[in-house]
Amino acid sequence: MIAFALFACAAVQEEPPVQRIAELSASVLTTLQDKELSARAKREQFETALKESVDWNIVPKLVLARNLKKFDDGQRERFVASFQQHLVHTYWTNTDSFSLRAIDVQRGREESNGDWSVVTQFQLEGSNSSVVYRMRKDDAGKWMIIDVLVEGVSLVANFRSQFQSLLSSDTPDDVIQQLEEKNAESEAKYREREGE
Amino acid sequence: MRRPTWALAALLLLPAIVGCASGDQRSDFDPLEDYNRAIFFLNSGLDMILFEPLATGWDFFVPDPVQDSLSNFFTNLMFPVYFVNNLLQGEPGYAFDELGRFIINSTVGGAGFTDIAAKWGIEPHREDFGQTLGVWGVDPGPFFMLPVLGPTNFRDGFGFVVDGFAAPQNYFLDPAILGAASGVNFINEKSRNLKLIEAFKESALDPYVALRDAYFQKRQDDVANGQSESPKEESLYDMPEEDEE
Repeated sequence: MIAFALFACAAVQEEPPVQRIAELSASVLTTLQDKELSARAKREQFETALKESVDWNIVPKLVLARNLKKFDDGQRERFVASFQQHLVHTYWTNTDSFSLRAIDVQRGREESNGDWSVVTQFQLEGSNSSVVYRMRKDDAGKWMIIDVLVEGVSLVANFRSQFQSLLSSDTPDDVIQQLEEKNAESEAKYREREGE
Repeated sequence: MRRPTWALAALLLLPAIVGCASGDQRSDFDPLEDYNRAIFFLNSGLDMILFEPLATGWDFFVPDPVQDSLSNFFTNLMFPVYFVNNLLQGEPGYAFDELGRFIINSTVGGAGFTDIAAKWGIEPHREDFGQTLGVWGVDPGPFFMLPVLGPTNFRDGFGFVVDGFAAPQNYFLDPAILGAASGVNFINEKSRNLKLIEAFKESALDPYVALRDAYFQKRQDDVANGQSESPKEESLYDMPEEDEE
């Protein structure tokens, strides 16, 4: 499987955004399939790889969109921290529970604003799932993930709808608190599942 | 008696559907939100106390290969729906792929219990009339939660009624048997998606809005045959202004 992932990596090296996703995919698969690693260590490695690959300066702004103006600097900082934890944990839960077997990095395409979309196919136990990464070059010139579309569903658009709805009646502090409570709940569930 | 009732319902709904044609609709077009949230709440309760325990029990007792076989069987029965809708969408190649899949799976695949055709490289193209209307340019219309069945919209709900005409089992089976078979299919599919349901619950901050938006986006992607690759609205990725109010 690792050999397959490395092959996938080698086969699509033409464009830097595609290469970045191929490397990330290979790294994630290697982590998931490492029998020496404990569940906790796997999760930590996975989360580190994801934290380093997502542009955390841009994603929170995209999900808040026009509601960003309602947040002061301190609230923005707290929001970014709790949203990052929520997203990374959610992504880990999905990847871990769906028995990921391989990631086929298929192709990349430049979008009209200079972003790139990188199309992959997740081979899961008993089914396949289309996952498209939206990539943007950061200030340091590194290609970073700014959105993930799973079976055509954009996480940025989905979270934006949720925050738009929540912030129509709640304050930024309320929303941050809800995120923090959700994270604590997820962590407790994770510990229960893993018997920690 | 069932057929004329469906025909009447379809005819009554048609002007409403056609009236929604063309224009850029957003996922939060939800004039019936209060009703929808109430039904969402009801469905969540039914899931919690009835359907998820049933699906969990089903998942415990029925091995995965048997669940997959049942799913294949029910999917195979939908062949006429997929065939007709591919033709209506101007995709004769996909329609004949579906014909080939039906013949192969109904014979070599043991009455449809095994998806041999997929193993032979003939991929499914599962198109319904809601998608056909989408391809013809009809907007989804207001979001609509159905009791038990879950999310839909005016266009897809109408399509669901029309597709009923193309499903042969609706003509030949006794309503009691049809109801029982639909129940088995419903619980079996829920059982196969338990992890997905759990993951959704864990990630959603406002589960109703998360479901409404995911349904909207997924159906947009279905209409584009999974070729959309990026959201229709490119403005999704424009950076918002950061000035504080």
